[in-house]
Amino acid sequence: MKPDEVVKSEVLVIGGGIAGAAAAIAARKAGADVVLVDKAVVARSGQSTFAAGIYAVCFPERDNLDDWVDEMIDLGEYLNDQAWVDLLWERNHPIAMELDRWGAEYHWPILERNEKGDYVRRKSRGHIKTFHCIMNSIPMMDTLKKKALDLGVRIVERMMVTEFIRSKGRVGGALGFNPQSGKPYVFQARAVIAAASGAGFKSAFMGHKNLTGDILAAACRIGVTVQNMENVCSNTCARHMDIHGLNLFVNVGGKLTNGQGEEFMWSYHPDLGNRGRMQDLTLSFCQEVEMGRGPVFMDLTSASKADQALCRKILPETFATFAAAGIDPFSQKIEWIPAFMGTLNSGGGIRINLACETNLPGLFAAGDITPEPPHGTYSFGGVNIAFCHVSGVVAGERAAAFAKKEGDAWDTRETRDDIDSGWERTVAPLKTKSGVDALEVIHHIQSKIIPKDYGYLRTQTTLQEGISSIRSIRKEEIPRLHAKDPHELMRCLETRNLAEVGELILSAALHRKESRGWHFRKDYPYTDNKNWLKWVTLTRQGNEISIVDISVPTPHKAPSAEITVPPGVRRQ
Amino acid sequence: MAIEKIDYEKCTSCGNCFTICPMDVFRNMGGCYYIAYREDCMTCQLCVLYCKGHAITVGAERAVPIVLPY
Repeated sequence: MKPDEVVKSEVLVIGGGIAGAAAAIAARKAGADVVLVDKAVVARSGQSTFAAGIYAVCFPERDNLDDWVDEMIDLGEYLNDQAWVDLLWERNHPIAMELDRWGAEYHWPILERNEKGDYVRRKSRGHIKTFHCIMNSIPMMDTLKKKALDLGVRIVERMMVTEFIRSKGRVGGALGFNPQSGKPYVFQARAVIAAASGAGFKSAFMGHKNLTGDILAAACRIGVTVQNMENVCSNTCARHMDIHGLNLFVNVGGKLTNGQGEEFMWSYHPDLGNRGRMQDLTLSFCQEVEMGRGPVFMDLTSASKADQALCRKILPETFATFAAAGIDPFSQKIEWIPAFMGTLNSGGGIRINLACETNLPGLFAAGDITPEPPHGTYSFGGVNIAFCHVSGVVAGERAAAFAKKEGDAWDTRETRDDIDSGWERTVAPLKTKSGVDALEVIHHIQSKIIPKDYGYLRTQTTLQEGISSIRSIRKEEIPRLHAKDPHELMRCLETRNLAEVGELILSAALHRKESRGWHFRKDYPYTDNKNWLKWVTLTRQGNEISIVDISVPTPHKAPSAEITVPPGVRRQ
Repeated sequence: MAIEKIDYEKCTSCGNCFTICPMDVFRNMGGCYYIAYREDCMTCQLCVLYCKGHAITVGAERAVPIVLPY
């Protein structure tokens, strides 16, 4: 097969979650002709569909913005892009209200209201003076998809984008194929928005196993710079099944207990306890297990009947899974573990500026494929969706303006090399007559990324060994991946992309010699603001990875001490 | 384990499972939808929630073993 189907647009958006859908709508509203593609189905794949019900909204008439900015920077451990913090809260409220209005027009209520008609606001993970609204994810995504279609966005689903195409010094399109039919496509565009989330390594947790860093890896292959890759994110989840809902669970009184029955989180985070940030929780779980005080349990037995009903309404997929397992989480404790999520959520990703521009002209990035710059390491619950929404709108507006101003970049002679070599890389697993199974290789990759020695409580020794193993997988196993059909081809390419992203994660982790966010170094167990108030950026240059540190500007607020205690340290 | 079966007594051939599945687990042969890639099921339950005939059973157990942090 050869890529002969050509789809032209002014703006190509890759990824159909909230960031991509919001980007497509914003670009369309700005007058651009827009194509939106998704590896699966817009509004039914990626994290937005499974975004367990919380959306941070700062209401100008009732919230003190200074408190929100302050709290965000403190909790984000000063790795926040503080200019992005301002932009996030400037754009957040109007677009959240607009989205809620669209939902009401389509009869899909998005944000929960109480009997008086006021928005329900709660405090969950990390919130001190801040709040989040409670959101119905599937109606939210249905609303965005319908609005995009109503505005004339062209949607192409079941489209795995595999490589970018460059022309005249710009990113001018992409290659892809349909994993059901195998049909290959070339997308030509004046501007491209990468909004396809990051790499979750097919690990535990609900709903992210098709997020394998495909667009992140493709961007890195053409020299796009990534940032914060050492800060791999984790949520938490039941050990034996993939569910979501931590924010709501701790909000309704869920307690985390260790093997000795102790509510141990108060010893790690005396102010927030069970409502600690995700990095507090997951590193503490690992420490408790390392100290012989595991396993950890989630105890929801004190949730009120009303809160039980709220959980069932907001988390239908989780409760369907509980039902399938024959478990009632409100009457028994459940073993609970860190759910590794790699670059998802506030993990690392494509470095962007305030216009969502990457270092390559014509390529913009939005949502979870970026390091979520205002979040820092991870600030408080509900920021992920808020940022994905705002950055999607910003990227859409900016990409539309770029497309109008810069015009067509496509040059058939110039693009031929990228198309030919990109297609050769794409179909390589179909050409091997036999080889290794992708599922087996994924397991090998997971075993060098997810275990606590590589993903949580790291040392120079474990990281060096991990990098060496991942490089060996890239060299020995990836070229031998074998696909029998287009679906298997998708799985093989996902595997290759995970290995490439994994190498970047471990390289950044080896480089950063301090502990901050999820990045805990047992050999450097403190936060070093004197030497490491820096973003670690990585850029692939052929087979090499170039690492550059960038000092974090602190226009609002700088850390109060040179050395501070990182998450995951037992204080009492 | 993960997606277990489609009950063809109840299946209305609505195709929602095939259309919705984020992991592309299903295939369609002449209007008959079947489980083609069980190993990719992520137990997200979307097919169960959108199945018009309530014909699909998805177990809670993961389709393939996952490496855990500890």
